[in-house]
Amino acid sequence: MSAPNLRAALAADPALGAGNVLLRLAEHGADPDGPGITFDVAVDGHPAWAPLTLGALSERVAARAAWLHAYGIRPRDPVALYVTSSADCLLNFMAMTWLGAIPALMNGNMPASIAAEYIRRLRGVGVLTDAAHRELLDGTDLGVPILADVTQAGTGDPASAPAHYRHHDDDPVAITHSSGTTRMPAAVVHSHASLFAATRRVHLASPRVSGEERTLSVLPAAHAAGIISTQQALCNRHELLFLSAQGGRFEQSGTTVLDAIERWRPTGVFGFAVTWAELARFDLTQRDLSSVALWFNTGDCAHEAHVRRLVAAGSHLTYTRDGVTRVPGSKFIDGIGSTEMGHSAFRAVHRMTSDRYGRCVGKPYAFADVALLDLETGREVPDGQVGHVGLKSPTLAPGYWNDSVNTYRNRLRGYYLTGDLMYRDAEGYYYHVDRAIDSVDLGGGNWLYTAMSEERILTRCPDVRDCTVVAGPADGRMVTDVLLLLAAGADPDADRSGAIAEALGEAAAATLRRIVAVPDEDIVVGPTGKVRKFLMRQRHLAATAAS
Amino acid sequence: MADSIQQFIFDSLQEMNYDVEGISENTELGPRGADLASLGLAELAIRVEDEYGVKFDEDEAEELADMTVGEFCAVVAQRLSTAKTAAE
Repeated sequence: MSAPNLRAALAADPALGAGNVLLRLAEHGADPDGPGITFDVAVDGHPAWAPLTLGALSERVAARAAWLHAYGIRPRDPVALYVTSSADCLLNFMAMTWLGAIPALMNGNMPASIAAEYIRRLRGVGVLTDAAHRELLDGTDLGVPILADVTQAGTGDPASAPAHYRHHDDDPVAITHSSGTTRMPAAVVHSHASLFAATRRVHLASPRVSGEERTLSVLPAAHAAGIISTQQALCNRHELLFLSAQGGRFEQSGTTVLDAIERWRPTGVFGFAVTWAELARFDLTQRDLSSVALWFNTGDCAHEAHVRRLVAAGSHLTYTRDGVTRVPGSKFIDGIGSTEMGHSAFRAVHRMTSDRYGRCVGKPYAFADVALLDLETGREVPDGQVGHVGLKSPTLAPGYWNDSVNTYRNRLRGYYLTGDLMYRDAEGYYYHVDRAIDSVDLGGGNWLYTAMSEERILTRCPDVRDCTVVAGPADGRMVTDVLLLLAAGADPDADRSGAIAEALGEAAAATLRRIVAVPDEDIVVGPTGKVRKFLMRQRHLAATAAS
Repeated sequence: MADSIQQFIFDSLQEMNYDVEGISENTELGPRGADLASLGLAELAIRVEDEYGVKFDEDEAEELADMTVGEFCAVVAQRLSTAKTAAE
């Protein structure tokens, strides 16, 4: 079957979901010699950076399914997976779903003490780790055994793998976790249908690309976005290179990503906001990014200052009256989303020629029913007024694992409350102002929206690479501190107070206590690179009070 | 008017070497139907612009994938009518 027809057949296949992509690809006749996944690490002796065909990928997954089955893993068994490499994560995810088990994917950056408690709360049957994480967990009470070293799973005999589990739409296929920016990461369960809903409705419904598509994923493999980006590449029959651990330590990941782009020549680069912030350290005109036509962001909304630099790089094919021609510049798709949302619900497209920023997240996808709600009344707020984002979507995770309290706490009138604050303009575009938990009531109807303030600071201060606004009560009043991460060569003593006061607006500027350039290590980030603002607020305000 | 727009689209697809056999006004332009590639949609948009003076930008062209031939014709006809009204 040709790839285009295969896409339509997959989109129309009611049995296909996130639990059985390899099975259904094979049953639809996808070419086993076609693209599988390329990893940046060796897989069972197969060298790093050498593509695994679809057939070879399926065989490596079957080996793990056979080993796990022989070990005693059965349908509905939750198994924690705490590893660093994208190969270990994705191959074992697919192997466990082969068995109908429930892989609980953990970000390898999760600190061991938190990981141990997270594993205990899962109440699963065991943990699969790599050597580094096994050492981290050594001597810790996990409530379940560590099954084995993850490399052992690859030694199974693919021929002895049991028949693939046949999933129902509602079957759980993965537990992933939120970034844990405010608390213990929340374990979120995804179903066979929910985790595949966007691939079916968006990624298999969009027009096929002209020419070869090569996706470089810098997303964290253990998260919903990691799984979705893998499955959309496989179903679209695109080449996929999946870097491990988002390119490694964040402050060095920019180099890793740029090197990977020059080496592998992707047409699309998928990442979280931290990746674009890290690329802002570099003069992109000095690197060969000409292969890149698309940057795809999900998780947090990306910053204008970072996006503008990216869309000026790369190149893309376009049709003109002179025929098909390659022109400079690329496209940036910004898709705010979260683990619980199961996929981004909004889509904003930026190009060199576009100028709609100010934390505009675009418009909702057709599959998403979005309402901006007043939590007091449960009613929608009018255009222009900030409300809490409520979402109904087939992508929504069914709930939190072992946590009905929070599953129901975040629902209102049939909507899932995403925890975001947005307003909508008269043209139907949505603008993200802040996470609800980070916004600060200044009294008199005035609010400090930290994310929107950071956006405005970055656009007004080009020598600021990234920034964080923290606010809270101190000395009997509300105070706001602005922490700046400066670009290389920027003057740390430059007076930016005027621009920053303007960015904050009158009411918030009145609470401004200090503006300080800080080293990277002062910014507390979670395992996916998200700033842990809640924790920072507590620490920073405590530290400044003490001093 | 809608009939002539539809005929123009069928003719264009044929000139662009797409197989138009079995394509009707209910056929989607995207993967569930005619399966135009992204650059094919961009070319179709430019052909329509040259013929009718109705413009679709780059991102709009990609969204045409979700439309049937009939729906696309209706959009062209509606934009034509809006443009005429504005000119009067």
